[in-house]
Amino acid sequence: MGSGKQQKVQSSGFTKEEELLLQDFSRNVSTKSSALFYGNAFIVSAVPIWLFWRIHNMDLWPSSILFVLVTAASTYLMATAYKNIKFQLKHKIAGRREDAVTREVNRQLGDDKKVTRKEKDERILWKKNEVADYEATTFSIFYNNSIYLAVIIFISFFLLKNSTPFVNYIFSVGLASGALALFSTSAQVN
Amino acid sequence: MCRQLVALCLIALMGASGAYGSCKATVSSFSTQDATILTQLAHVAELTLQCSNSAQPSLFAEFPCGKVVPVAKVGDSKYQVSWVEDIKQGSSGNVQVRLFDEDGYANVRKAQRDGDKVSSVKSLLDITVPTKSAYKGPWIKAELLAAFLVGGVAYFAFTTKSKVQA
Repeated sequence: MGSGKQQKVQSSGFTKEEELLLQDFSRNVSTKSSALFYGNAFIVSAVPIWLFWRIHNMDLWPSSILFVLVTAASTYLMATAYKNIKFQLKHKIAGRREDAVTREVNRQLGDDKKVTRKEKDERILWKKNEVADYEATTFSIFYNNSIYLAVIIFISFFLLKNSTPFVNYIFSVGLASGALALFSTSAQVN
Repeated sequence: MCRQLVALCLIALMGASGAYGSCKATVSSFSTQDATILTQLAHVAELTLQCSNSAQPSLFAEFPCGKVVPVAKVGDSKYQVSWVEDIKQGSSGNVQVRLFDEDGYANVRKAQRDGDKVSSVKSLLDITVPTKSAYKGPWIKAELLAAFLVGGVAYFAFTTKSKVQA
């Protein structure tokens, strides 16, 4: 630990351990998580194309440029919303799962004398973060997708039902993804 | 003079009892089945008339609403009458149609002119036309159902998030 403190990274002024801790609390997500978020965001953003093509009778090829542009914008906004909601939830979930994870790790390690107290704590922390990360990621995707689809259906079928499909598509997809991205940045006041 | 009077009375009696004797009709009907993109429902009744003296008179039909329309002759002893009604007022069931020959129709017009009840005019034949109701679309619109379902899921997601963050 003492040697770790001495290993100051000149560029940022933090030790390796501090960097890891900061990374854990930062909004940045791993490449794997990012790919998962963008993949999901793309799929859920592309779903309204079918709705407007088959139900609202928009022409597929003449509107393809619009579809691509709006889907791309919506994908970016949805991925941003996923990241923000995941960040909001991760530490809350970690706090809630702490006891269960501790029990589980203690049960797994049992009376293993080789494992030191520090090692056990590290393993609990790592496991807790892994569980919280997984739960926050999946719940963030579920939460954003369900609200996104609900808002799209409400706007496209009820609010803008008398508008042209062109206007309807832009506003329903744009408003749904924009609102989710916007509200995902709100701070939780407790 | 007396003979002429008796002859006149006989003619009048024939007219009153019906120049076509007793008639029977077999009725088949068709109603609009799908009214999802229509504004009115159509009913068509086709009847085969069999009178005791093999006569094939021109017919007029009176509907329960009081409207009297000519009945089209579409074949040998075959007649067809059709009518439309608004979808909102459309109902299934039996419709009583009164049929008149030309003399009966003249009496109906006379009753209408005089302000008398048309129902008091004797019809040639009364028929019952069975009508069916049309399909007017699903009870619940698909988009409404989808909105409720996805709204329920979104509500569940929202409340779960609030619980986690509480």
